[in-house]
Amino acid sequence: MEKVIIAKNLSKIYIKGQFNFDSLKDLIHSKFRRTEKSSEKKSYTALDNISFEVLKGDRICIIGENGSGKSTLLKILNKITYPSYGSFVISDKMVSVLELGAGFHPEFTTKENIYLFASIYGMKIKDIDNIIDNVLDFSELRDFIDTPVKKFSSGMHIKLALSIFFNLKAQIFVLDEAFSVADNNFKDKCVKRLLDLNQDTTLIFVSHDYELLKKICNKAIVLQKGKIIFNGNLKDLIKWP
Amino acid sequence: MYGDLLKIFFLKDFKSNFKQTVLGPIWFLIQPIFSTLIFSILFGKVAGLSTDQIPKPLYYFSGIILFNLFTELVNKNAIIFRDFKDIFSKIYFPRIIAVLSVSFNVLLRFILQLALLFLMILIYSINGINIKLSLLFIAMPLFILLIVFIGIGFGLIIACYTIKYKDIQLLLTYFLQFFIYTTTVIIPFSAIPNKYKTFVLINPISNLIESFRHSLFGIGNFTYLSFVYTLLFSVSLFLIGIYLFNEKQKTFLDNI
Repeated sequence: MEKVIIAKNLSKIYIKGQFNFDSLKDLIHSKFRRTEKSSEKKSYTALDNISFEVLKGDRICIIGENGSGKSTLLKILNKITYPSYGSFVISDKMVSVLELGAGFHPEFTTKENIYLFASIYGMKIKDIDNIIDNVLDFSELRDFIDTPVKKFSSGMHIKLALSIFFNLKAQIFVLDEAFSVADNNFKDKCVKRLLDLNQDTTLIFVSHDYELLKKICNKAIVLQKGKIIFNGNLKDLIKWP
Repeated sequence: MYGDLLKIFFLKDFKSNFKQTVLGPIWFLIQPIFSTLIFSILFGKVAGLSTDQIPKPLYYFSGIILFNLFTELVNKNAIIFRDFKDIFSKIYFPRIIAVLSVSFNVLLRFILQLALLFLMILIYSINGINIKLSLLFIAMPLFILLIVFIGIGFGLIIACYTIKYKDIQLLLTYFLQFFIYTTTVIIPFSAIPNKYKTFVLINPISNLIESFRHSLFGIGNFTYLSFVYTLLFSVSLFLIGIYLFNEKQKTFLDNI
């Protein structure tokens, strides 16, 4: 099978305490109080020398406790932050929702936000014209097409964001804790949508809902304190972290 | 591929400026018109400052809109990381699109104001005021472009150094308020005492305002030497700004 993501020796190190000054006053203040302050500046390794590969068509889940490095890993793969060391190659078009609703403009209507959101993901306006009906059907928000999204409930926000996301043109989809807040009916619809993805589409899924993961995914990467402690078929994973 | 995103961002900025306003884009014109009125009365009538023999409204309006183009570009670009933080931290797209979309919006505002200036020139000409368009008229878009370069460059440099400390951003408002008095928006170069002329000449914004007026009315100071200096200054500042922005956007999310 073709490799769509190759990551080599990825590390991400954050410096703790380096940027905690809110104003010039705090900075000057801290320069004069040079007691144990400087020794407090420790680095924090969010990701520690991680290497892995993802094949085309994989349904891969990333599992780990809070602070194990899942989000950092996804941020790096999405080019939102840069790795301190290491490199990676992604050879397909990848889209991801790291937080639902980011990118919406509250004053804009549903329709305007569909165009805004989809174009941030690199879609052309004429391609968005083609998906808009699917988005409205899937989200069940057709009646609210001219309503500003600031009037939406948080549930409606999520439905709209996910509906656009599922209609994006891409080969790799990344979902982070995505539909934990949606109602059951919509959740089922999303799960069905994910199960119906064709064999050439790759899925990376982050969740703590193990029943859901078992249903959708076939492979797993388990992270602990920034290191990979398991990488293989989901059914071979004996102990859930 | 991201051309459409630029278009949509541009429209988003444009529309969100006028959601919940009655007058809409007319606001683009109200501010410079009021400033022109106040300047004409205060500096023109009361203080009796020279306007190089051209009608006061034309003189002040042309300076004000050009100076506003500069300050607006600085202000909008200086807070670019803050304004786009939510999107930058969730989705990848070429970050320069954000710079372009806010800058094009400022430029659009300027173009509307420029159209009004041309209308004013036309009305004055019909009423018998002699306005000498100079040969430099064809270079006018270049003068505007250089102002844009300085505005974006300066704004982005501020943006890159105010991620950690917001103090400079607070200082910026005051700086820009006072900066207008060091330029030739109000006092023409010809009326400035000789011993201060050097200060005006090393200020690229003053040079560009003078050149701009020279191209429109045939007045003001224009020398090729100061133009070459201004050209080099503007392009370098722009390139430095873009370079710093490009470097900073890789790490800024780790820093806020």
